[in-house]
Amino acid sequence: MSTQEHHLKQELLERLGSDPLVFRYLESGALDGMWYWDVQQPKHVWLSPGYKALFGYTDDEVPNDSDWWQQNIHPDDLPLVLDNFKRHFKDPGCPFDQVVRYRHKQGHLVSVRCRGVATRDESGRAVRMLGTHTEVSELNRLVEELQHRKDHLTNLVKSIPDAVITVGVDGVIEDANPASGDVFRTDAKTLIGKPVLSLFPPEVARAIDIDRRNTGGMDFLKGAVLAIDALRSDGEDFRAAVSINAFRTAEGHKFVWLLKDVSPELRHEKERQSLTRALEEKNRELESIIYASSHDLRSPLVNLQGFGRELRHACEEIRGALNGVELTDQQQQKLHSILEARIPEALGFIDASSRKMDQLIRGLLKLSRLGREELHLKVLDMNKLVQDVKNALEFSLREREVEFEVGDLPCCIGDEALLNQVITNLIDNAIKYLDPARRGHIKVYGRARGRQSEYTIEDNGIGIPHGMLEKIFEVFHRLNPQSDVKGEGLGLSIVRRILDRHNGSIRAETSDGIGIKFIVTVPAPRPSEMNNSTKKVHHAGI
Amino acid sequence: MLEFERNPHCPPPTVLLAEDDPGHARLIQSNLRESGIKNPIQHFEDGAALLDFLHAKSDAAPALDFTNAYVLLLDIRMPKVSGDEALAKIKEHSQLRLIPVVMLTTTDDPKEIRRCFELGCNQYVTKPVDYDQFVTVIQRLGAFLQITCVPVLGG
Repeated sequence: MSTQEHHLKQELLERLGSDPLVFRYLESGALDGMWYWDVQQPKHVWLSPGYKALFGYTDDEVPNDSDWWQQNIHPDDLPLVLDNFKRHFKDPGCPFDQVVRYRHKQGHLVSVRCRGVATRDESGRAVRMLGTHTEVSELNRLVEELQHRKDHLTNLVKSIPDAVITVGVDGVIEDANPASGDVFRTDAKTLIGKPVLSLFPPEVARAIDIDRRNTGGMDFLKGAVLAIDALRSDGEDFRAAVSINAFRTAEGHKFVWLLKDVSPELRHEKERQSLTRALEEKNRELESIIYASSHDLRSPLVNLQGFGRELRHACEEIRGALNGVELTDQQQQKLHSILEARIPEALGFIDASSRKMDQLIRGLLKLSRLGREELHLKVLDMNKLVQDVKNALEFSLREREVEFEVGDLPCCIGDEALLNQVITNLIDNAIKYLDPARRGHIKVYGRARGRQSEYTIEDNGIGIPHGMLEKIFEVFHRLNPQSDVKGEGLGLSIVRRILDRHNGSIRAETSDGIGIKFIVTVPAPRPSEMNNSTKKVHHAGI
Repeated sequence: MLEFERNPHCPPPTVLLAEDDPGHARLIQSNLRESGIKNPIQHFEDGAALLDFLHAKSDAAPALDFTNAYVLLLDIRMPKVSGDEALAKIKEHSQLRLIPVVMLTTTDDPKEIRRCFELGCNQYVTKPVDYDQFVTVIQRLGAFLQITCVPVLGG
């Protein structure tokens, strides 16, 4: 023993011989397993309890016998170990060190790093060998998992329908997935080795190149997302969405270029826009036809009414002229029935029908005008708007002794005059169709529903049968045409039309045949559009 | 009826009525007369006939007279040349633009009304379909024409 050894090391070596605790610790704690082998009597080997425990056995389950490990090592690894023994025995400079697999008691394999060193006699012949086992299964598992992840990523890149291209710092393509071939109409492999700028039309490539020179490398493209023209191998250019990301490898920075051919989307978008334009054009045309024709239809009505009146005057003149003329009773009776009954009846029908027709045409005009007029949108305080409507309808509400209740209403984005019309029509409708048998009760309340504000106008009137709920929004539909309720049958069509134009909606609900509930939605203002409107609750019993 | 006393230098203008519907034309004329106006009334059945007269290209009698004053009652929807087209032509003309133009039409669309005023019309009156109202409107228009003073065309 050299005197230069550290005194503690020297002490440890001495204690190793005398104190079993030191050996036990080294054997069980510091190493996964330990073996000591008599090379001259190869069957004789000592296997530490840790060695056996690593493979799932207690100390006494496994004999201290070379046959045991030779039978339990993976058969493929045994020749390697035997071969390495030979080399090491021959040449101490040739280390005995390899990873081998053993069969665990429960059947699975355990990977261990098996190392050892031979002690030799004066002639250099190996007489004993001391060895250790270190478990490396976890490391192997990690290596395997990394391999799986790599396979997964490789497959992922292969199955992406867009071009995924790996580019070195020098701008040369190092790898390209199969879809790159489809996008650029060539074999993907032929792209490798080319400058990435060759995938773009000269002017685009030049622009990128200038940036590259100015910034001294491709680094300026890190994280870039571009919409630029790219060039297929057959010379056709196409619009590509390009995103570029940098990643680090052992060889330094590389870039992944992801190129998506967006020309089909662009084409579809263009088609959609032109279709929308055509539809809008057609719609305007239809509106103007309705407008012009309903206008033309009104003109003849002036004549129907005007000349009807002329005829009435003519009858009066005849009546006057007949005054004092000698007639037989029979003649007088006949003339009387013509002048006093038949002609007035006919004129009455002509008059009433032309008035009715005028009303219908006016309604149509109003409806078509709604489709053409520009909306003046702003944030509307619906509490105020409903109050305005209530004030305007004060007379009817008082007359019918209606109990009118308004809850707190959220704001919305709308045309004030048109939404006033909506609320007016709905409340007016509710008043018209109240049930005379009970006290009228009309409630208006609302709530915010995401991007929409919702308003409900509810009454306890005569209601309508379930099947009729959609019909009431049709043009000229009237609940009961014979009733004395006045109207042109357009109120709800107008309401729906106005709400359509606001991108809002309306639906009707009824329950148990009592009353009807109209639920209206109108787009809500975005928080940025809100001004600080103070909220008040209106309870107005009338 | 109260007789309006006119300045002899401001003679009652000739009423030009451009109206394609013969029934309307008759009802308008009879109700204007009913209101008591004595002005001559000259009827044209469309905008083209009116413009021909104003440009002295027609053999309408009496012909356009530059020593006379005119007021025009103009329908909008007419064949050949519509009322708004005729209005634009008249208001672009250095002399004819002196003629007061009263639009007399069944249209009450605010857009149409605005457009006519933009083109330079002087009044806009809607013909009601309801005959009682029609009578009232035309007779009031007649009363208004009675008190209207218009310069002679030639200055």
